Amino acid sequence: MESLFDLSLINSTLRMMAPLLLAGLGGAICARVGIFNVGLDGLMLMGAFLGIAANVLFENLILATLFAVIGTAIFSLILGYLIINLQANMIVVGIALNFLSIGITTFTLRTMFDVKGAYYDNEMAGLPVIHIPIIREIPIIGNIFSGQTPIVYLGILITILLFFFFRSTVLGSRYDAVGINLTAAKSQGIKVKAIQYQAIIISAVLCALGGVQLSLGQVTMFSENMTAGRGFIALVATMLGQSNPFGVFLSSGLFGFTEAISIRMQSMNIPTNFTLMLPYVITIVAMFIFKDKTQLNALKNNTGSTR
Amino acid sequence: MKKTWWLLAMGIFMLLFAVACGGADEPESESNEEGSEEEASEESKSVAIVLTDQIGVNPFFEQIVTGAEKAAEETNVDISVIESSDPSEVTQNLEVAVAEGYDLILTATFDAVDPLTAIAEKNPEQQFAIIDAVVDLPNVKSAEFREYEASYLLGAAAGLATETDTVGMVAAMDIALLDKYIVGFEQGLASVNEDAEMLVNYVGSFADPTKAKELALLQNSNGADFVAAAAAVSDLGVFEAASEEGFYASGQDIDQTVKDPEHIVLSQLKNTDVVAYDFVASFGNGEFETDNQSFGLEEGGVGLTFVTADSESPLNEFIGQDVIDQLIEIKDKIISGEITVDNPLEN
Repeated sequence: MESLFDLSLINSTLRMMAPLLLAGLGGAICARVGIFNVGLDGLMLMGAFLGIAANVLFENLILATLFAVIGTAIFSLILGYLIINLQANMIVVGIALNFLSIGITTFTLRTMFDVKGAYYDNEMAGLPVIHIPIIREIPIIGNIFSGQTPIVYLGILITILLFFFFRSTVLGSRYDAVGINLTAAKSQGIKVKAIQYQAIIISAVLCALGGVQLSLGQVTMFSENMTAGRGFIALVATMLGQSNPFGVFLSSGLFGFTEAISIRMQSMNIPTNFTLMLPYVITIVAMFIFKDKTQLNALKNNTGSTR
Repeated sequence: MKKTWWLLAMGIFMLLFAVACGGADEPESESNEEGSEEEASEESKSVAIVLTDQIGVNPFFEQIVTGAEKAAEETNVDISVIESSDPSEVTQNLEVAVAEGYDLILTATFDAVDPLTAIAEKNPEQQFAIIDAVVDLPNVKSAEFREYEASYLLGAAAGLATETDTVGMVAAMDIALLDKYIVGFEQGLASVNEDAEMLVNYVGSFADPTKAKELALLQNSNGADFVAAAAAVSDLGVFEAASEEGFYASGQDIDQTVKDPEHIVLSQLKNTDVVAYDFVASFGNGEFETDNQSFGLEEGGVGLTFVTADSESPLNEFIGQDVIDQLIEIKDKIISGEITVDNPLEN
């Protein structure tokens, strides 16, 4: 049993949850303005690819991250235009975006790098691991919190920032107003479309960071469809966390933890098929326990459209 | 009324789309430009390669295409590659290939066995070939590999080289096909090192390097100093874990040691390209016969770097020349039949 619960488990949980957390927060901010963003997975994949591609071109990690963030934000405008201006069905557009993203990244991978499947170069530098000077010395906490990539810490910071953004800023309340009742918000002079666009772009930025954490943080490579459905898990984390930043933090933590523990359980003669199932079983159980009104509202807002 | 027109337009559009798809479903084709296709059908033979998945999922598919393209160039055969977005599309793609009138339709892997059996029975005049699986029909040529023989060698190498008496293997999925790798490895390991413990973890997907890396790190923290990767594209995650933590790893299918000779110390080979080349070349030369062939160590269909084939990269000290010499002996014994490696799929 001692190999199952040790400090590296928490360390591994943090690593696993970071992409889920970032994408989940992106989903949450969209849900707050009444947009059900199914395209998280596609945005993440795009971020992961652009991060690697830019890193190859510029050989600079900060530029690479920046490029991924900006590129994904531009890509997300497709989603924004279709949903906000053309009032298209959010789920259809989101799913289309996911497939589009798989197609574009795979195609570009093949034409740009002339490789099929995965781009890998062991010369390429990944995101550095930061050891926080003082915290590192503290016995237990040091093991848990030190030694992650900057994006992991950024994820935690963004969670706190978003929490206060929604709780105590005027703009945060406006976001909520748009999500709760679009017409009422409009009647109060809030620029509804601008706010929805902002939310989608912020969500794309967060997803891109999550993708960069995957492709440059956890491994240093890009492989076709490498998000492996993590965007959808992030979507569930959003729902489970009731679109509240701390809720999303906890629920993505839960998924990170179950994934980390399912990897460990494989070493204990528990059938693999069972351990691979664990994160999803916990998701379903958790959905029974918590119900989310925000997502339902987001969906309800959408019922006017048949396209 | 408006709605009827709309539906009609949609119907026509979809019909056109379906027709276009049937003809244009060959994104990888290189020699198949519009003009050359028509004149080619009169002059040279045409071969369709129907892959059961996207080409990037597995280096194995790339090898088939490379081998076949090489043969095609030499023997003046036209080649079209048809990828399937997932294994359920194989049947349709095979039907399309039959309808397009290719002279030979080549496919691969166990995923294609059932669709191919059905379609080959329906089209007895059409010639088919399948690599890495067996379909026992008069119009199908099959080639299967005895990977477990090479896995046995790899396992023996791991058993001889390990210093911690713990070795790991990161496999893609818990499916019967991968037992060809796992069981052979286990048997080889046990044959040379009785104390050695083997850790097996499954990624649960053929394309999730992030998770494969996490698994390799875990195996290393549990004492494994050698981790064999058998998870297609996810292998790259294992290699990266190895170079970060400084343990040793091995790859699959093609010579992966060139990627990072300091940490990727061996590679289990499966010369699919040779078989694909052989199939297409013999077809181009008109010597094509539909029979079943099996490729093992003896035929040079499978192997291990440094033992059955040279590598561009230097031999790592972790393995060492002694081990290689012992492995060559074991290889000779397998070929001569002194050592029998069980076929895990037959038990």
